[in-house]
Amino acid sequence: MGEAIVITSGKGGVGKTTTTANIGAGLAQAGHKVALIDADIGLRNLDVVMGLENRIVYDLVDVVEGFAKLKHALIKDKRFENLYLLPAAQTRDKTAVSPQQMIDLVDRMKQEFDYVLIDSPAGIEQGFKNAVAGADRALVVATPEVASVRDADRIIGLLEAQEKHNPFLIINRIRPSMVKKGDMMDIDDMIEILAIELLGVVPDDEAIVVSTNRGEPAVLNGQSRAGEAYRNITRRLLGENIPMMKLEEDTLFGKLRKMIGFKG
Amino acid sequence: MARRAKDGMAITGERTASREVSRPAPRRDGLSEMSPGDVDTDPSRRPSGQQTTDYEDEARRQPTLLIRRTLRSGQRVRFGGNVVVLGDVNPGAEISARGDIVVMGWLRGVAHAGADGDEQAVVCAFRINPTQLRIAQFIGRAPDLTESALPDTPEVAEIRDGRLVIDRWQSSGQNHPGR
Ligand SMILES: Nc1ncnc2c1ncn2[C@@H]1O[C@H](COP(=O)(O)OP(=O)(O)OP(=O)(O)O)[C@@H](O)[C@H]1O
Ligand SMILES: [Mg+2]
Repeated sequence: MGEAIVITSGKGGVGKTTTTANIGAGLAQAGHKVALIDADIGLRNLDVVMGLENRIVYDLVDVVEGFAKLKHALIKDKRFENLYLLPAAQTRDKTAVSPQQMIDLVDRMKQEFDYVLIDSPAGIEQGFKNAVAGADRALVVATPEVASVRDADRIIGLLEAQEKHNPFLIINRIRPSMVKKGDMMDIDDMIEILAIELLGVVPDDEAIVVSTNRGEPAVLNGQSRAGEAYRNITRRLLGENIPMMKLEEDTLFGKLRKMIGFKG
Repeated sequence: MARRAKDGMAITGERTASREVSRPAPRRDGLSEMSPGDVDTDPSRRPSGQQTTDYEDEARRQPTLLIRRTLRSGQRVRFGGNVVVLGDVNPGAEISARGDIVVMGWLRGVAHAGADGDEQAVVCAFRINPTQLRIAQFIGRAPDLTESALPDTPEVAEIRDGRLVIDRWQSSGQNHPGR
């Protein structure tokens, strides 16, 4: 029986889809059988980020409505035999699916896959509720901006209210130079407010934009800093104890070490 | 001096005695009265030695809600009594209480004590840096200080001389000479 992990944030555009694609590819590269669910119905783009857009025949709503079989809707990744995508419907909206249908779907997929990653839409409404319904655990993505942290906090509160405790935090798009100048929230401040366990920090990296457009997750790119961060995040998710990577400044990350401690 | 319902409530029995006891140091008195036996060493206050504390009655008149977690953004608590939070109150969270608000952590959200107009109500927290603070009809916001510039000590917010002030918490009750 696999584990279902939802990637969520509250605020839009902070890197949920990027994170889902990269962790998914990272877990597949490590040999696990992985399925990605694009739960952003009506605004799908995980397929684009994975470079699988042109292979879609059926989607999540087709499966839930019994119009297509799960195995026919799952798209196999180009690079990994053991990585699959269940795309979102583009012509429907969030109300096409109910939380109970998502629970049933995710439970079925957990029979077959080691990891089921669910890419949540932004917001706290129906789409979010669908995305988290079937998840065993949550990864909350936030950027070092006040509004993003506020929304992440809201999401963590909603997750706690649904008895989904101990979400992990991923801080995305950090720019060490800006933090140093005080133009960005610093990581310690974010952790202090959100008070959840930090899984990793991903630098702002042009390689992400390039890889997104090419449909090649950065985690597979040995040169990219963000890719390296996602490799580390994947390994931490698998229970390995990897120290936080240094971006540029010693001072920024020196203090962080005390925050890392994983149950595995 | 307007006395809140809470004053004197700790003691049933002679009215004069209750005021005496509750005034100088409510917290300390509260503690001592919880211990078994007569711990009040001032014989003049207890001529008969028969006073008992009716906390049940106090709790009915001013109930206290205990919240054993951090209040996160978007979470709102309204309560017709005191509110105690064992955790933080994050930005975007709100507490409104008829009585006092006590936060055993960071207060960064919005807190309104004495929401029905009780100007004697207080807000105390290990660290106070609220988005906005209200006591009765008074509204204030914390000065725009970075958190590292804040005093590293528990504080209390209250109305003093018609102004909402935040002051260092003093455990012996000197913060509230009038209560
Ligand atoms: N670490 C990064 N460095 C540079 N660009 C990034 C990084 N992470 C994400 N981006 C860019 O930010 C944009 C938004 O990312 P993404 O689509 O992953 O966010 P999202 O949270 O899924 O958005 P939505 O809420 O719309 O679903 C994309 O253009 C992506 O390439
Ligand atoms: Mg997305």
